[in-house]
Amino acid sequence: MKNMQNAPLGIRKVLLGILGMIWVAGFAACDKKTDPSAAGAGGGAAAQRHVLTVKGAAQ
Amino acid sequence: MTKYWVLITLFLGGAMNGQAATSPSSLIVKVFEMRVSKNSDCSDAVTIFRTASPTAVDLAGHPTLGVGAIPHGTYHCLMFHIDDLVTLVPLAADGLCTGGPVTLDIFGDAVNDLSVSPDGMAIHATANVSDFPWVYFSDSPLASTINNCFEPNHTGCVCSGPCPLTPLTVSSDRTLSLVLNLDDRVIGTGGPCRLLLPPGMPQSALSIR
Repeated sequence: MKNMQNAPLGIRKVLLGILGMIWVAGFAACDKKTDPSAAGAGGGAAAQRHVLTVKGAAQ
Repeated sequence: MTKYWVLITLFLGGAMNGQAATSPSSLIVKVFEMRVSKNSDCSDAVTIFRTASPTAVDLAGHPTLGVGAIPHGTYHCLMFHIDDLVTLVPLAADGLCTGGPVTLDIFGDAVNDLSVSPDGMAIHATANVSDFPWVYFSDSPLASTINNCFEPNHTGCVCSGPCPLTPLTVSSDRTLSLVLNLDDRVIGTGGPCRLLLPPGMPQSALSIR
């Protein structure tokens, strides 16, 4: 941070922008991991289907 | 004493002949659709299989009527959309029920037979005409083995209402049988070849196994 304070204004802006992009990307990645709609999460037994076969009989 | 026994025997013989009936050796039906419901009143049903042009199948051969995907769970009502005209071959001759195939109506009593679709539309019975009724099986308190199975409720004759069902728990692939048992219900004496069904014969011909 002390080095940034000594850096020219333009370079500081670029560095802050890069830091901001890294922060946003990290936040988005973290959010995706907790997304309940992600594949494999939730569903379970309620979404399971089975095959029902109906036969006919005269007795 | 002997003549009394002869008279009794003749009387019983005559009575038995009057009640004679036969059974089918083949029984051809058509099933259009099956739905299942998790409710004992058969509401909110989902379709398991449906076809606009079902194949006519002989129940004597234990055919497959339909196959479909069913979600995990316990079901308290099953219902089938069927053609009420069935074609059978009498196992033995009985009066006018002789020879080859005969087409009979299991939903043909205009006074006592009433069905309703899962969507609530009334279906009235006309003798010897395809009326395409629904048949219901549930664990409702209204279900009885003496019902004709054509309704989920009890609004028609005293014989109307669902037929009994043991709740169907689905946790793996399952196979069921829809049974139409017309044994000793095909009668050709005292009138045209016809079927003995509720309320005349108070025992449902339909069941689930």
